[in-house]
Amino acid sequence: MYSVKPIIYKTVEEKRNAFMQAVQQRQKWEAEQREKIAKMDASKASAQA
Amino acid sequence: MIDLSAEQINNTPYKLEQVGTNSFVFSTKFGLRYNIGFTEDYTFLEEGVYQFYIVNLDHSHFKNDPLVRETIQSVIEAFFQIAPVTMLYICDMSDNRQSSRDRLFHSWFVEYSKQAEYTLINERVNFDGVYYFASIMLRKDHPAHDSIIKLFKDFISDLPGKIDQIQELAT
Repeated sequence: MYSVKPIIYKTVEEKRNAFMQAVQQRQKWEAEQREKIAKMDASKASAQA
Repeated sequence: MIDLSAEQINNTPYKLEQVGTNSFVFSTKFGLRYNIGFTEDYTFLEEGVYQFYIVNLDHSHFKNDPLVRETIQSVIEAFFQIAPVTMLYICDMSDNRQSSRDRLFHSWFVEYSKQAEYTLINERVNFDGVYYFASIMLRKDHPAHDSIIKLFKDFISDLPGKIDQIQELAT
C-alpha cells in the first residue's frame, strides 16, 4: 500500500520559506554540477594533452 | 532513493555523459551543452518527490532543436520507470526568463508522444514582484495520483503570492 506523507506547515510563512528553499536547492545543484563538469572537462583536456 | 545511470537511459538522440548521481550532460549539434538531473525534494511531501533540473550550461539562446526535447524526454521516461515518483520542476529564474522556460517545458509536454500516460500540473506564484513557475509531473497510474495532485495544489494555494491561474494538462 503506497502512503503519501504530506509535510505539515504551521504558517504560510513556513510554506513560503519551504518554496524558496526549493528554488535555492535548484541554484545550489547547478553550482555543484558546474564545478563537477569543469573538473571533468579539465581531466579530459589533460588526458588529451 | 533513485539512482539512475546513463546506461539505463535508452535511445537518446544525444549521448549522455554521467556527471554524478542522477546528473547528466550532453552536447548538441549546435554546440550547446545541457546539464539535466534531479535530486530528492521535501517541499510538500516527505518522500517520493524529485526536483528536476535543466541547465543550459553556456547561457546561449535556445535553438529549436527537437533532439534536445527528445533527449530530455528519454531521461524523464527512464526516471519514471524506476519507481512511482513525482517530478517537481521549478523554472530557473536567475535571468528573468522563467516564463519562456515554463512555456517551452509545457510545449515539450504537449509534443510528447506518451503524454497520455502522464499528468502535468502547472502553478504560478508571485513573491515581491518575481514570478515563480512550479510544475509537478507524475504517471497517471501512480498509486497516489489524486492525493499528490491535491496536496500540491493545497500547498501552492496557501502561499501568499499564489496567482489564480491553474493549468492542468492531460489529467
